[in-house]
Formats: sequence, structure tokens, C-alpha cells
Amino acid sequence: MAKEVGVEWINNYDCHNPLTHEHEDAEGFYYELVDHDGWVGNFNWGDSNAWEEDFKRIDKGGTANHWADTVDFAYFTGHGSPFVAAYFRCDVPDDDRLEADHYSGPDNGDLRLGKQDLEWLALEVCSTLKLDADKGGTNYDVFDRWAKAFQGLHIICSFTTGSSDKAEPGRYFASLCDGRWLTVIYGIPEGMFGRIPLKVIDAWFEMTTLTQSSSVQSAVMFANTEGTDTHNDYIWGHGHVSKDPVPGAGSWFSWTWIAHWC
Amino acid sequence: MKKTFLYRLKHEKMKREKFTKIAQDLGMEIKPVETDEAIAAHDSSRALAYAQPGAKFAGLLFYTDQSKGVAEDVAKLTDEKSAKRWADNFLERFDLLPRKIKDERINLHFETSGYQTEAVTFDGKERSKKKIKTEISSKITLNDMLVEGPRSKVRMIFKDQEKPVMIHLGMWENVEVFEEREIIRKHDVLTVVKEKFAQRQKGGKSYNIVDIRLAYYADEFRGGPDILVPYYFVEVEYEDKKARELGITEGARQIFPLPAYR
Repeated sequence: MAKEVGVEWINNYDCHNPLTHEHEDAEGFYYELVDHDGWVGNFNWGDSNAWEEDFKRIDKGGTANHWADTVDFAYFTGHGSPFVAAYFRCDVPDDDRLEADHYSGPDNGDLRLGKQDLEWLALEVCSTLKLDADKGGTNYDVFDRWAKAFQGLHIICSFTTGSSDKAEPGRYFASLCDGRWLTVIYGIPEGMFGRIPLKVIDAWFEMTTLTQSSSVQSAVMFANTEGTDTHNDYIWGHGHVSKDPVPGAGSWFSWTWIAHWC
Repeated sequence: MKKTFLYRLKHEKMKREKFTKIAQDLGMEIKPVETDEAIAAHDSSRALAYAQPGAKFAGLLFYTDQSKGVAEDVAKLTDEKSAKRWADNFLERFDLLPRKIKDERINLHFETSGYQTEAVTFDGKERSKKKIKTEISSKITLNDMLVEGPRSKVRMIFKDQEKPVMIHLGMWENVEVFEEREIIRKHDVLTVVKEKFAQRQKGGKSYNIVDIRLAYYADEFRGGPDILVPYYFVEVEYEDKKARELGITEGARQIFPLPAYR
């Protein structure tokens, strides 16, 4: 079974503030897995080639079934906010944002992922997993906004606060996941040491400790049902990967949110 | 004109004997691998690594125990007091904190604190909270200014055992005054930020400065003398007009680290 990765990134925003290091960030993730861990790179779209519809559900006109939901691990870096998983350019097809549920309607969220393939979604953006967020005086928590995105998806990794635009997060995160961090982070030549993979959640938290200041808080959200334990996932080829938590497949279904001060 | 010091950081060259003792204390009975850049050891579920002086993460001791995931539920979490006691004892016993500094121009303060983080779970009906990890974090100041960054902080995560499952210890052995410089006033930094945004946003005020923090930041070492310098961390929130029309006040955020000296 092929392990597939896809990344999208935006530096050159036309209608939001431009960023600088997102290509290095996303491509660091992509090439670490493709060049060093046997993953197939399905897409690496940047700036005007990065489209909101690539992550969006079909019944809202999106093409996630051709892009984000065809890979095992998708990584986006650019801007985000509590009600927007990712901001795109304004001159791309459809619109410039992946909206949460309750952004424009209770069930109108753009993300419904994992029906086909996607296990892990890393959103290297600000504030998307903020626990509580206000809209017109009503609080919509992280579950109101993102729970329905989990249609087989295991984990979303992101932040609850603002964060800095850095070049390194993607590569460090991937190397913590694939176990090559002693080479990438510590400079020990590969081959002198075996690989030491970390669980996806542990890797995300440590990556954020390595790259962000102490005022930044990262977070993860994961889904589980009977017979799954997504919080223990390693990436493919490096340890246990839970069965997909499919809504309705068991007698219960739950989502869990955990934060980590960097 | 307020002055501040820039400091030169000196990191310990970790000797094999000391590293082996630390590894043994963490329960690892294995010979370390050593290069100019790092010293590391691992067994089936644990890894310990230290970046030697001159490496990009010089001074960083990292430990992971993958037998228990950070997000894994445990019956009885280690309490904060026990975790802090273990952490302080570990740091002291292995002499992992900065040496006492005789230079009266340097007032270094280091302290650890323990706290517990709650996971929030939603079962489709109710939200429930459960303590999921006990953490140790550090507060470091130099002449009353915060010091942070991946090579200047302590983070430990405990689950249900006496010993942590993760340690991130970025610390120097010694610090000395490198230069005295003028510190840029907060007001002047804000003026520069506003000027830059005025150019980029074509004069329109479409952002807010939501926070500005002054701190020394020990980032990755990128060659030359290993100098600790102060930065302003300016957090900016961009106005999202589309979202605002829907009653959502929080837009995309970004933290800019800007040098705070000249």
C-alpha cells in the first residue's frame, strides 16, 4: 500500500497579508517523507496553484475527493483563524477560505475528510484549534466548528493561538514522525543510529516546542469510536495506526482536544 | 536611552560518562553513539539525545519514551508536586542548569513550575474534561527580562510514572556579557511596524496589534558567536471583512519576532 502525502502553501497572498517561509515549511514536510521515507508525493501546490476546493467537500462544489482525501497525510501552511482552517488567494477557484461549521451555517463547513483516505491533517496556521471562538456573541467551541470534518479522519494538528512564520516546522515534524530527527535536528549521520519515530501527536507537540516561542499554544483534535485509538497513531510504516473512526460505525463516537504550550 | 546586554551562550560539551548516567537514570541500559554534533542512545521505546556545542540545537537534551503517548489516557496521572520534585532533582543532580554567575552585571533567575493540562472530550452530547498530562515548564529571566526559545526552556511531560515520557531541556552551561547595546523602545518598534503595514496594505488600516512582548530568544544556532539577543514579539491580527460581516471578530494572526536592540 502506497503512503501518500500532499501539501499546499501560500506566501504570495493577494487579499491577505503575505508570508515568507511557507514554501520551505510545506516542502520540508513533503520532501522529508518523499525523499527519505518512501512516500508518494501526490501534490505540492503553492500560491496561485493552491486552491481551497482541493480540501472542500464535493457537495459544496469542492474536489477533496481528487486531492486532500486521496492522501494519507495532508499539510497546509499559510493563514488560518478560529473559523477558517486555511485562507487561500482570492483569485483562485471558488473562494479564499475553508470555513468551519457555523461560519455561514450550522452544517455548512467545508471539511468532511477521511471518507476516502486521509488520516492526518496538519494545519500549520494560527488559531484554528482555539477552544472557544465567538460569533455574534455566541460561543462556538472547537467541536462545534470542526467535529463534522472527521469522516474517517484521525487527527487534526494545529494551533490555538497566533504563531510565527517559520521555515522549519514541516521538516522537523516529518522527521519526528518518520524517526529521522536525530539526523535532521541533531546532525547525526543517517545509518549511525536507527530511526526513532514519535507518535503523530507527540511529534507535533515537540515540533512546536522546537520552533515557536513560549506564548504560542499548539493543539490537536482527534476522533475515536469503538475499536479505534487514533491518539496512539504513528505514521504508516513506523508503528501502530488505528482503524478509521467512521461516524456511525460503533455505538459511540467522540472527539478529543488537547493543547500544549510551546 | 535604555541599555541592555547581549550575552554569549556557552554550552556544555556533554561527556559520555555523564550522558550514560543520565540515560541510566531514565532506565536506559545502552551504549551511546557519539559524533562531533551530538551524543545519543536509544532502546526499543526510548531515545535520549544531546546536541553538542556548535550544533544547531547546541545544548538541547531531548528524551522521549514512546511506551506511553502524550495523549493516552492513564488511570492515575502523576501529580504536579511529584513531577516538579523529580524535575528539580534531575536538573540539580546532573548539573544541567547554568552555573552560578559571578559577574554582577548578570542577574539570572531560573525556576520551574508544574501544572496539569486537561483534555476536552465531546461525545456528541456533552463536553467533559479530564486531566491528561502533567507538565513542567521553566521561567528564565536575565536582568528581569524573559529568556525563551527552543534552546532556553525546560519542558517535561509526565503521565502515570515517576519519570517523564518527554523532556525538552534547552539550556546553556554559562552566559557572559558580549556587548552592551541600546534597546529599541516599544513605541519605536510599533512605529516601524505601522509604517511597514502602511506600505503593504496600501495605507488602509486592516490590522490590529494585539500583543507586544520583549524577550531574549535562544533560537537555532546558525554560526558565528552564539549570541543571545532580545526581540520584540509583535502579534498582529488582520481584519477579515467577510467574516466580520457574519459577526466573527477574530481574523488571521501572526507573530513577528523583531530585533529589539541597535
